[in-house]
Amino acid sequence: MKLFARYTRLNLSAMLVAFLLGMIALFFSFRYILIHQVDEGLETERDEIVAYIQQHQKLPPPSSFSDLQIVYQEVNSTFAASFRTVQMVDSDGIEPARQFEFPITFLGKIFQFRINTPLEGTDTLLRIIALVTLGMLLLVLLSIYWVNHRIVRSLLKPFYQTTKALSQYSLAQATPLLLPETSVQEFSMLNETLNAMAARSAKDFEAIRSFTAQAAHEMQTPLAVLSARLEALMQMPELNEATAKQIGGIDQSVAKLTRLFSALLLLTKIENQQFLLSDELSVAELLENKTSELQDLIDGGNISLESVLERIALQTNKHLFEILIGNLLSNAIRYNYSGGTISISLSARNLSIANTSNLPEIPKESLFQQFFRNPDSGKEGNGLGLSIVAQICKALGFRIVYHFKNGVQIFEVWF
Amino acid sequence: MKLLLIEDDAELRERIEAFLLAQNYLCETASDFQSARLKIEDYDYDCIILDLTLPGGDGLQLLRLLKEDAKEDGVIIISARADLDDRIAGISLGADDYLTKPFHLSELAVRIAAIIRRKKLHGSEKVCFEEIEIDISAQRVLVGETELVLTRKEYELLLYFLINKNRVISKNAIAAHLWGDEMDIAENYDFIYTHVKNLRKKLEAIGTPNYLQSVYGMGYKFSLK
Repeated sequence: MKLFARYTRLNLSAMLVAFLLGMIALFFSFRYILIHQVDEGLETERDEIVAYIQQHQKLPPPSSFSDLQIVYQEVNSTFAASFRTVQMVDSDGIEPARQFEFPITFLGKIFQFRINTPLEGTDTLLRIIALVTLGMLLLVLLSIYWVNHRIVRSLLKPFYQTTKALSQYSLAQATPLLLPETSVQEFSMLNETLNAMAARSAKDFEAIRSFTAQAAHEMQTPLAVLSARLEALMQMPELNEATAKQIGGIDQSVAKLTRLFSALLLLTKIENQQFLLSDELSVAELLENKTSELQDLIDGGNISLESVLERIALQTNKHLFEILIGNLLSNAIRYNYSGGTISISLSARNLSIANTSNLPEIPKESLFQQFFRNPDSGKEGNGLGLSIVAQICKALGFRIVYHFKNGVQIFEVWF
Repeated sequence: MKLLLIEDDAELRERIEAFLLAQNYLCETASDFQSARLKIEDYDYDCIILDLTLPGGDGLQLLRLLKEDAKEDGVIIISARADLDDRIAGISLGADDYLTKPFHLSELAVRIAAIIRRKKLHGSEKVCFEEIEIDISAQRVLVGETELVLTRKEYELLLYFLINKNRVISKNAIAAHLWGDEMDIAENYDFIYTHVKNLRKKLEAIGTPNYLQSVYGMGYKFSLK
């Protein structure tokens, strides 16, 4: 629940309770006052009756008007005057009325007088008052809600800006996190802390990243020396078979290291750099060139190749795109089996490369993880191929999707 | 053929120099920016092998100097900076080729030979070994008077062997040459073996002696027995 929603819920329910209690109190006090007034009117009426009797020395005739009804009867004993509310039948049906009952002694006889006056007017007034108060209450609550909503939203604006900036921030990007200063001290404090934290993390991240690049780079020259010395060693006359085999083994390890370093350098380069996406590529042609380059390997693996290529043009970075399709095709060959197939399909929206494979589905979490290799693969990939694919897709603004269906590994690049 | 090797790492410089001398090139060396600049200004070379990271200056600056002086030396960059930008900058400044460290010396030999051929248009466009003759411009192979028909990969392989004749060439070097970036899928070397076998058969069928020898555990060697 949002802070504001929570605040509003608590605030409004407290207010609602207070207002309702107030309304009830108001209703009853108004009612009390109004009935008191009616009662006073009735007392005046009694005084008039008493005056009438004294003046005329006779009882007044019972009268019945719409707003006043006077009846009396003789009783045996006297009693205390009292007010009460009764239901009175009149032409409109049953309506509440105020009744004043009082004794009058006349000519030694005791008469019980009852004056009734309908409460209709009072009720109407009370109803109107109740309605007006309720309306006011709703109006007040609504306006409080609206005002709070506006105020809180504008107060929380820096907070939303901060979360938005944070959600878009990545350590890998070049621009530092620069959260603005705000007029609210708390938010400024938050932003300053976050800025400092991001700067620290970025520095650490940069150190690690440049270390990788630097380390791989620094090893290139000794590796070149090693490679050159090996080649010289191979030219030595009279090498016996055991020595030759050892040298061949070292040469293979050097080749593996070479590939690993160049993959690492490529990876850090893609992560570090901005690339121009201005090359106009004929994708189908690139794919055809690549597959013909790899034809030996496809034939050698006894793999059949099916391709459906739409002639589309794509504006992107040629160098990276070539590496991308190279890596995907290499994988499709490497992890295939003899008699298997590779299907390439290209449309304006995506490129899909699918290959049969004996390997199980690649777990999602390790798909693009560096140095992940399926333990059953038995092949000597360096485990960076798919990381490079993922990084290139990111750099070129493509989306890479992986499926596994009936023993077929499918990689789709959505442009 | 006179070459200039500019490389700051002493060990690597010695190795490459020894290799180039063995390939019958005249080879001079420079280990830093200043000495390289003096040599470039004073002499002409058929091909300069240039490392980019040098004490005293950037190798790319040397390329600029060459361009300003309108020199026609061929240049091949050897650098650990695998950066595409460096490659593009190098090529646009007039370098003929770019080789990323580490590389196979046999690959360097092929690249240097290609640059020298391109620069000396009046020179021989043919690479020969005994009765085998490769006409580079026509991409044709003649054995004596007969034409030898090869696939593209076999042709590249034969040219590679001929330029690196009398040397043991490792399978890795061949794989890197034939398949470049995709060399890692050629890792089990069956593919190389297939091409070598086919090439050997074709050479035998046309009547050449068995020049292409397997070297146990390491690779191949193209030479007279």
